[in-house]
Amino acid sequence: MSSAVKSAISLLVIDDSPGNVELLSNGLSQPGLEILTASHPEEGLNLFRNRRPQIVITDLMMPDVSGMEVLERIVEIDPATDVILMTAHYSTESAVEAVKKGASDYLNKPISIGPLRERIGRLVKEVRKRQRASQLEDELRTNSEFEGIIGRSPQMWEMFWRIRRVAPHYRALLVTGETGTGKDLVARALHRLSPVASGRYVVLNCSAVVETLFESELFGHVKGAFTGATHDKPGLFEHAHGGTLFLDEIGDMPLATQAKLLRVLQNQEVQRVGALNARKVDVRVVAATNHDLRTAVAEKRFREDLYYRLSMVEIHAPRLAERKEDLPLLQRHFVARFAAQYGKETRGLTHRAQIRLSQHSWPGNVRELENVIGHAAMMAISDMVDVQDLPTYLHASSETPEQTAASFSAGGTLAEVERAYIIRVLRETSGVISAAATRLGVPRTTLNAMMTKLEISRKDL
Amino acid sequence: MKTVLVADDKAPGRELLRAVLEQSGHAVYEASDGIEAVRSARELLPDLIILDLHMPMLDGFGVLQELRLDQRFAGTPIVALTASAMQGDRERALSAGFTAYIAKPISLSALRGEMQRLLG
Repeated sequence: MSSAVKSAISLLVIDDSPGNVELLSNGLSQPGLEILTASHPEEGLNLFRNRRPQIVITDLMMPDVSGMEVLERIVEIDPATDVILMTAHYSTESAVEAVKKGASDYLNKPISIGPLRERIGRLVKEVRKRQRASQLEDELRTNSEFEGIIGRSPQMWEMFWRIRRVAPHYRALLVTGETGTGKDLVARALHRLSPVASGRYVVLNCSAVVETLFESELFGHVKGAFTGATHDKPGLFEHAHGGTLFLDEIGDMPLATQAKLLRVLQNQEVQRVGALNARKVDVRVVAATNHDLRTAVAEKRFREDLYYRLSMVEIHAPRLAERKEDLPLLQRHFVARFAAQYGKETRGLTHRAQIRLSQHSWPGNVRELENVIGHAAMMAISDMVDVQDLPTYLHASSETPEQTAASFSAGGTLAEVERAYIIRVLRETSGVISAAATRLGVPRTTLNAMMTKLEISRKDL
Repeated sequence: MKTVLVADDKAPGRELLRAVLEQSGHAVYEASDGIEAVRSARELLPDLIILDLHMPMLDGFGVLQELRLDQRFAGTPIVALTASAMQGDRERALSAGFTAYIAKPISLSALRGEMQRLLG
């Protein structure tokens, strides 16, 4: 570690007794730690604002502004600061208040300087570790981000790898995946990594186009081709010439248009509606769908030949439920984004809130998570998002009994499934038997008896 | 998230422990005397139990003895809250079978350190 970073750690002592200030600043001085002092709370707060020390030691009883208020104001400015209160009048009540307001310690005067010195030494090390950790976290975040797509799970690595492999070569490609899995991000990544990255990236959502205008939209038209065609107009294919055309919800494209699209893909030329000649175009096509196109083919709603043409190269965006190990990463990403967007100091999610999110099945995938975090970041009062800040449907464990049943492998005996389910509910209620019994809808004594019969013990939780 | 049972007849003492433990993301349950402590411990099977030594009905030593007889608490850390004025308490607590002790008035850093060590 460079000396520049070392010297960036500082400690502020605030005490109205000059003797105490001197005692502390002499006694605590150690290499790599800069000590600032103030004999008045307001002076101390000003110093804090200007110099941002990582550690503050303040007296509790001071004229004008109490140490408790100093603590409050400091935590408001930077909640990561370690604030140590000292007092000659220790009371458990004020210790509780100090903890709740975010103090890192509450010391009884007279201060024994030896142990405090050691403690400050440990804090300095911790601060240094935190600085390093946040550097690492930044690095991790950059490393687990691929062209704006976030993930570190094997499924995502596999997808990143495929994107990297096919991007230089594909002409037409199909992206599949449920709604909210980020198919549009995949398309954008493909464009950016392709040789035509400097060309245009044009998007058409096929479900949003009126059927009669589809062909004119895609291929353009000439003046007089139909009523209202007052002048020549190029279509999206010509517009995307030398770039990429992203056709979202390709399953919603009318059959007649599908046939023409196939011809464009085969010949690399388009014919404007009403025109006699075709024009050469050089366009890469990424199509995306959240439907099962094979079913659509079987039901004659989608042309088989177009399907095969597109699905020669297929990239599948995994569901969020298949890659729950990416949840913390995604949470951090969205929290940082919404905190910046709302101008809030939101730092993350409490452990409880994270557990709640990990229990959810995420039918709406990453987009649902994005909405949930956006909602929570807006609602959060403190700098940590807690369960009550989440949308109400996530307050309780959200699984339906059907989903729960489905998560147990079929083929188990009833006793095995009962046992597994009871253990699971007990874990979710932190082993509180009466709470588990309430959720299971049986009296506590019954649950106790079942636990004995099914040989469930504390070890299983 | 771990479950912690805190038994102390003084409400501010319980509240201080609750505040510190909840900040670390743990679930805290309270008992205000020894009998209630034994009953709650059997019902909750907490991951950690903190007992004030001086409580009405049944003191911390009594609760410890009761719980140590029960196999289910064989591996549960049980921590004593001792008044630092009473020098003998600490030695007595450790020899009676408490896993660790925390001296009152409680040092927040010592408490956080112990909890981290015992709850992981």
